[in-house]
Amino acid sequence: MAKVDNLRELDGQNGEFWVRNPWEFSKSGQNLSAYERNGVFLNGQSGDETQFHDIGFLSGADNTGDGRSVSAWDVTGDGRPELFVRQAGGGALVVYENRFPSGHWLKVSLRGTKSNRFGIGAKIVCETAERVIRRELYPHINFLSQSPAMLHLGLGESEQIRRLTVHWPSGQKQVLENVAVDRHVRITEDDPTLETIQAR
Amino acid sequence: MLTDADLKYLQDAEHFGGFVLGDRALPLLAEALRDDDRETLVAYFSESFEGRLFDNNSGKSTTYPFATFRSWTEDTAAGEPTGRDEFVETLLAYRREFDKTPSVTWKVMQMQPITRGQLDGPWEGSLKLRLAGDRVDGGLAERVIKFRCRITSIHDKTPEEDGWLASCTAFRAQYATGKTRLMEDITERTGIDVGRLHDTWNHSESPQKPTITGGVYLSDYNQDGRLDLLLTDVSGHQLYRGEGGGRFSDVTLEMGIDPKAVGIRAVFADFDNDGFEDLLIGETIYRNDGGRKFVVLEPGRDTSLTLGQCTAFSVVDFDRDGKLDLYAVGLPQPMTGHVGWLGDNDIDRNQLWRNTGDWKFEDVTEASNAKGNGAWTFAAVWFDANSDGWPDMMTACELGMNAFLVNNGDGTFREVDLPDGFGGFSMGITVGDFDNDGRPDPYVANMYSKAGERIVANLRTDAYDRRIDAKIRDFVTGSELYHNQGDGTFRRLGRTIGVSDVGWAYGPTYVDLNNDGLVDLYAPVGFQSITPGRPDG
Repeated sequence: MAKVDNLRELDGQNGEFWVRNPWEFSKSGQNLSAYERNGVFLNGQSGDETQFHDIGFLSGADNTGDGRSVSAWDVTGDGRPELFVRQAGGGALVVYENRFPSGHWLKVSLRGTKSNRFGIGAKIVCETAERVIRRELYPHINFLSQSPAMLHLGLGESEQIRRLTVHWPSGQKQVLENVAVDRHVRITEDDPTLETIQAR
Repeated sequence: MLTDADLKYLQDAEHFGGFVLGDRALPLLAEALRDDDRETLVAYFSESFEGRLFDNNSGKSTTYPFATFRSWTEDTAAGEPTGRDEFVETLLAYRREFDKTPSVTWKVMQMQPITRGQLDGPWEGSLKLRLAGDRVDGGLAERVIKFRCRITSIHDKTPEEDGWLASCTAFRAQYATGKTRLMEDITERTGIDVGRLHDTWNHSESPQKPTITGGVYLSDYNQDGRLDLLLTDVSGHQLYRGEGGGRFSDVTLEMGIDPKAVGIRAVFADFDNDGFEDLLIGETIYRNDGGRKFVVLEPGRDTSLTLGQCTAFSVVDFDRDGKLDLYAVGLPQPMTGHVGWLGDNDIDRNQLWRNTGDWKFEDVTEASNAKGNGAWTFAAVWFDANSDGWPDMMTACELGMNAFLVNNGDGTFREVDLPDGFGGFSMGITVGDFDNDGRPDPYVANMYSKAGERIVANLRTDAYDRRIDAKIRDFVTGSELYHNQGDGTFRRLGRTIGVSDVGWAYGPTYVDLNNDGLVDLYAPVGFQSITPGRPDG
């Protein structure tokens, strides 16, 4: 970093600072991207038009801590995913309970026989009267976080799933028709029966 | 390269645009608006002020059972030009929608002298106004408006002076209203002992706080249908068993987890296909014994898997042989060659362990060409990027470019270049199919600094060679959503749909919060918060 002698005198009283070497910022004792509100964006996709609504403030999950990672899953049993927010400061763990007025839902655990046991890499196509939902079971494994190796499907107003297709990593394809909603089910590769783990 | 004069100019421009205007003058404007103080507020606007706001009924409105949004973008026709008094009256009307005292902030996004180099002339740039709080008629509201603006002049006495705000033209806005908060902090009711986790805000003794303290990993490790939770932490790890109803019990010791095992990276994965997820924490390998106990496996004796220093783990069955493989990212390796740009040098690499069964793994990194590239790789995600049925991989690298490996389906990968400017300065990545077209879309969390964006906007375009200059400018655009085009290519959407402007971001997640079949996004942000109310970088 070049040494410049004629840089201005800083207004220390009002907290002005200037860090010449970015590698030393964490030692500077200054705010950097400080008290930023964690972002929450509601997916408003409509047809081909993509839109996300900033719902941070309305959600109340716009924590100002120094956020590092997040995992999501329903732990209260009502089918609505909670958030587990991990932060370096400002609340090391914050658990947010989901109170969105809920649509219907289905949680799916997979049991591979030829495929790996948890069905990681499987693709699911869920057809309801409202829409076609497509998911891949690559559990969210991110920086300092992991969500469970299961799928969570939000189903809106649909009270039944017309068809649920599992494309297993083995190449096997499995189709289930008229699946009941608001429950946690287990689908085993090559087994036509659907096991309910928990019904609401 | 930057000359001394460049450095001085950048510091001066940030002094006036970021500090004097942003940290000293705009808070006064915000305070006057918050206090509904018309007389004080109007004085900051020049007599010849010209403003343009969006009409309340223009833009696009979307209604949910729990919230209503109206949004305006660059495509929305701007409202009629107004003079100072009418503009201020409209701002005050926005303010009066709120009960009690709303939160009101004005922030400088960018600010440059209209004539480059002329610090004592007029300035132009962009400002962000945000009002949020309880509504007079009940419920909640938040209004955010981004303006292009002109300032008559900025000097050290500007905050005490009148008439410096010369024009404001809205170019993007969102007005959101709702009935009640949609998420509630229930941490205290979960039974999780958060007090034992390291929180830098409670530790003022050390000037160099750890910027990374631990992770959160979810799994139903005992397969009882109730979700369990691992918290890794520099102060000690904690494993919790889910009891249902959002309650958890500490089972760290009874389950055999060493709370002091070195390392905060972890992953649950069923490597031995017994239906119970095993666990890696740092360099420790645990076999899950039927959900009853985590048993330590000794590398070399019980398993051929050896874990060394790295940043994160990921799991995938990359060869679809029915056994889960392990991908470890961010293994340090010595520097080689010339560094033209931060992270040009591959100072770390990734490692692919192929699972051959019975806790035997072989390192196939070289044979499969899965080394990746970059520097300080923070995360790797697997997904079928090109819809051929084989898992592909993308990384988030703090420095250097993010890697994108396409699976050839024969046990090998090919490196595919991502479009210019793609990635780098990335701290996390998640994948989800936001438009349900069967093509998963990565959302990449990037570093970002508000001061950085302002300073880069004042950087002369010929200071660095074009490639470096493009990277520097790309660096300040925030997080990015990549829309999968189906053929293994991606289109950048972040700035056009509002999910880039989050701050300094780390590992985000897709999650369907309202169960409507469309995955939403949660983005944890914020780098280093030291003193509230003081200037920020």
